[in-house]
Amino acid sequence: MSIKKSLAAGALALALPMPAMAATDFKINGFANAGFAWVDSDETYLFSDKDGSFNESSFMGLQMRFAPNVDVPISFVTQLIARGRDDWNLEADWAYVNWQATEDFSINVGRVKLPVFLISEAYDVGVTYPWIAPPEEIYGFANVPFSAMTGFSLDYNHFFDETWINAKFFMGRDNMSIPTMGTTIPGEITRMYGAAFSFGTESLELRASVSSVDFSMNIADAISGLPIAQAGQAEAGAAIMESTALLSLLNAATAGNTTAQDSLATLGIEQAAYPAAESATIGDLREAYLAGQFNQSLFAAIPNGIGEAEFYSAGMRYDGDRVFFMTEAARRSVRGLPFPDSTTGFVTLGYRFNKMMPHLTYSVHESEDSILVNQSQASAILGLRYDIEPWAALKFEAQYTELGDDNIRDHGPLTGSALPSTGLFNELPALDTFTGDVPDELIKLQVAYTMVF
Amino acid sequence: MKYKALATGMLCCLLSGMTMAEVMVVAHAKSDISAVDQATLKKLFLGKTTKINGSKVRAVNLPDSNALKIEFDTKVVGKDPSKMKAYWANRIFTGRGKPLDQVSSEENMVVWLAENKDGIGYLSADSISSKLKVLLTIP
Repeated sequence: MSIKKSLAAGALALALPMPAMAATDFKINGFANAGFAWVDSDETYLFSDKDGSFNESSFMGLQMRFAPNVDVPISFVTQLIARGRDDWNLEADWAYVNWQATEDFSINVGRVKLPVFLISEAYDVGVTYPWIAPPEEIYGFANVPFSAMTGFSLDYNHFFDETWINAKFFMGRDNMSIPTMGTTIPGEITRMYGAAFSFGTESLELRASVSSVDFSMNIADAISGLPIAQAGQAEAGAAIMESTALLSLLNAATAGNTTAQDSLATLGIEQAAYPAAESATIGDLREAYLAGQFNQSLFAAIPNGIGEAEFYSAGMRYDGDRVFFMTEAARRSVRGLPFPDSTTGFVTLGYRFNKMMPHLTYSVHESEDSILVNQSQASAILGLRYDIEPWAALKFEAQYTELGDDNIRDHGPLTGSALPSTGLFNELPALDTFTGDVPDELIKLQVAYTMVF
Repeated sequence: MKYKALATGMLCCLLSGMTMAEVMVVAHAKSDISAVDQATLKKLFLGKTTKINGSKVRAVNLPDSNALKIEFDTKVVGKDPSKMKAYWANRIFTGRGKPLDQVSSEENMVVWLAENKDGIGYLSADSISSKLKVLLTIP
């Protein structure tokens, strides 16, 4: 009897919690882009060339948010993206646990996208901006070679009646790889942290941010295996060496020094490699270098190991009823590794006519103190966004890009001391031999369909 | 699909030029909330708050293509459908905001609100049920 009773009670206990259990919440949202890009160049620019590319601006993302209990402010968010440019491999830039501690304050722990610049976090969400992709000169991989990290971010939001403020702090680490000089250099971000502060109104946003990155990578190992590097060592011909970035390395080393010994020391070359250094002038050293005497040592002289970089940015976006205006300026400074400092920025003006918004952008990337890479270039982009539906838009773009003054074409067979710019041609390494086919300007045409669901 | 899109587009154009009926902001008949002002509603439907006078609420939306939602967004939130979608896409995909709950039709809005005491939504005058109470009428 008592057994029966407790069994019944047990069955009841099992049955009852079901309706009484707290509700879970599961939501799926997503976005997709389908685009075609064409450039008037045989050399691949970003991800496109004369044959055009469906991959450059085609991608799809799916975001899942799961809250185990709607009464507890904790949720799990994953955003999976497959990009044509990555052979449609699945990637997760967002995969975090969110704790909404108070209405204003939340913590994300896990993998989060970095708020380096104003729209970095929304980089893949085409309906939120006018262009097919945010201006490459500042937002591209060439300027910021990472987009997400594993760590945590703290987010403070407060809404006043007409205005709002947001403060964000993040810290974490990640692996990264820098595509440069025709190869990909693997590395590790041992620590990154930063803060962003923004405030605004319904239609205006002003923002400033700073990010600091400590990274380590073995550059000499990565590039000494390149065919061009080996050819340089074998032939040791001035013509080839002159067209390589190593000349610039020498120039950089000699620039701050008054004696040949100091220059050698800067390059990390033992004086024994060039016994005449004691009495040599910097000019002698240069000639000896061009004659191929230091080639092997120079690879060892390329800085290795740890480096630091900082990113500073200030930007504003005004998205009114008719006028769209956005501008941003950013500065990258690198120490310890031979990547250049950069100053980048853009300005965009758009005007809405009902569902159409023509817009015009000027965007610039300036590399400074370049040793191994120089990516200076500027672009003018004329675009049209047509809102087919509230959740979908069709975008057209025509872009004219000019490489920096010291571009690789103008240099011809290189004689000068400046490192020529290769712009954002990713397959156009500074370490490559000069073939003469290199453009110093290009036209890019694109069309893309973008949507959210 | 094409025709549906076209039809929706035409509908939107028609609607924007028309004066619509009232939008009733509604909640469960036994809701703790008795009234709400437009400024709070705007914050609620932009995901900027989850509270009315300190009480936690859950805002529920109709689908993007629903004429009443478009009217509500235009009148209360002050955003046209494209801007509203872009605003929410930005919040959802950058980890800033949780998407609001959504029901497929006004009938389902009535059902949802009758089941969720902390819910707040909107209906046209024709759809009002005795299980709900009206917090605000937007002309």
